[in-house]
Amino acid sequence: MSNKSRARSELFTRIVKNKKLVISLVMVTILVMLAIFGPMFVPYGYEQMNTGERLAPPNQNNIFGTDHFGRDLFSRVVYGARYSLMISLLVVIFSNIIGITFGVSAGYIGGKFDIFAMRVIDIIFTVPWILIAILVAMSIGRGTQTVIIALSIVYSPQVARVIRGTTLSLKEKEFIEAGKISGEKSLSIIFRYILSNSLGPLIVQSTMVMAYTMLAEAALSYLGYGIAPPTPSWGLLLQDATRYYIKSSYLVYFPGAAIMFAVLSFSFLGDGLRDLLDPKFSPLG
Amino acid sequence: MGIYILKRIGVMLITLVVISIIIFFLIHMLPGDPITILYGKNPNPELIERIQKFYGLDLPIYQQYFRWAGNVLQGDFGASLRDGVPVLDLIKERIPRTLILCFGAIIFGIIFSFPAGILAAWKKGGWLDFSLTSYSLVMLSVPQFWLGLFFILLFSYKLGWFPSSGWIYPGRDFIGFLKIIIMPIVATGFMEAAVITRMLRSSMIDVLSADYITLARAKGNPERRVLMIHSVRNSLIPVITVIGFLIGYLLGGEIVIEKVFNFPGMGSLIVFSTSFRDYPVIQISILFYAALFMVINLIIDIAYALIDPTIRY
Repeated sequence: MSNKSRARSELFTRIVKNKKLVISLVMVTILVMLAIFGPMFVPYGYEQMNTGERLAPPNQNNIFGTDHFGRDLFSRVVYGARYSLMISLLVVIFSNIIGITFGVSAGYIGGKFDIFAMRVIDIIFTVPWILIAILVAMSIGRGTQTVIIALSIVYSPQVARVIRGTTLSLKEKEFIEAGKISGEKSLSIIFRYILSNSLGPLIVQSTMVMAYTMLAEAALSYLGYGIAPPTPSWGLLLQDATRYYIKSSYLVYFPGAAIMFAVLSFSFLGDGLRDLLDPKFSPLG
Repeated sequence: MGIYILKRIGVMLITLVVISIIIFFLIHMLPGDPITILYGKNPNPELIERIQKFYGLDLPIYQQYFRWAGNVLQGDFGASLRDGVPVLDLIKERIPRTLILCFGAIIFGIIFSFPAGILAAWKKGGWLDFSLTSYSLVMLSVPQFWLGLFFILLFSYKLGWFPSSGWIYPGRDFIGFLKIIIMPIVATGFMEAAVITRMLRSSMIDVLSADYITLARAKGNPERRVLMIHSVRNSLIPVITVIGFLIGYLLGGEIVIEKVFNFPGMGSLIVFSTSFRDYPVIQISILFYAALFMVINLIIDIAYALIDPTIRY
């Protein structure tokens, strides 16, 4: 067996042995499948109204019941998986782009720029996340883009901190010195050495951001700052339910269970990946 | 230490000024002005002019900012555009209420999580550890406001134990007051408890494998003393860090929880005033909210230094 394939099979055993990782991978796979293929198989469209059966409790035709417009809740929850996952994924991508740019340049350039960047991050950290979201919502109105922009601003400082730390520690390493002396450009050093060596913490951070974003999206949409109807994100489903849930409690149970399942699978995945990539790291929060 | 605190307060003030500038300009660049919202689409133009003069809305925006900031520094926080109530009165009344929910949730979290975290670490790997850890994972995955809705369904409507919304002054009816605050506190407190439990468990596990704990056991200290005196105190530092972090999330979560329970605190003031574009209220309440957050964080950092004598600022 070559060295490479031995390393690969070792990694494979480590993954399989890590029960958390296996369970969470199964859960995330179910979720992703549901988001991609689910809407093809649901009985109704998410906007399709069936006014004869408003607020019908779960029955044979509508296994999760119907909402106040007579829309099938099951179909809406399945569509919601697609929207909630998509929003979280976009927030992960944008917060990584912003955070990595800030963090790498702060760590790599150092000096006054580093101090300035860290001050900006400190300021963002001193404002509760929901206020940032409210301010964004106030300036551009509610909607999908509001949630994505606001949460990308909220989570990018965390990415920046992680990546700045690794950049600082890597900057002094010999292989980077060697690259510099042999005339490599800064950008290629950043991509080839720094980013590739920071992948572990970034992946762990990203799964956590996935989980946080789902909770935050739900809260923002519930407050009326987030997703606008009729897009069926899970948070919006809960907001739709506010006026009717006392009599029709299933309106709250099913979207809530969906959020819980999704958040649980991603935070589980983050935990498992952290154990796999860095067994010494203490599980924070 | 004194110099450190002064420095922190300095940074806090600068941050607050930055935030105030951002909020001020952001709000004033928004489409939809409060006059239209308050007086309808086609009010009398003379009236508009008088209102604009009165509030200084006709001045250039930077002059409006300095006018406003000057007033604030002199202790004049302005009045609500909606009903003319001084903003300071609104906030003075509401901050204690939100603080009650916040500290209630943290106290609940601490009371609940300390036994859970210590037990889980002590019986590491056992069924109790497993169920406590999975329980806290589940609690971390539930939106707090969803838990609030669930509590209302269960305790207000099914069982009829607690009122689902409102506010009662503790001086008037203390039992009624407790009944009002218990559900919002527990709905947020569960999440606090889950985070603290996880942190305490992992930091206790580290401490319990340290040499000085083995020594303490070898010297014949009773197990309870080893756990409570030697381990817990040394596990506290990361726990306090986490409590500090939690406050940010808690103050964020409080805004949502106050909406669920129709609780008249700072959160609902912010939500309500943003929907009416009540500028003076939005500005001041967001600034106070941010200031509250920073002051609490400063207190946490000072608490650090008191618990861990190796930390010197």
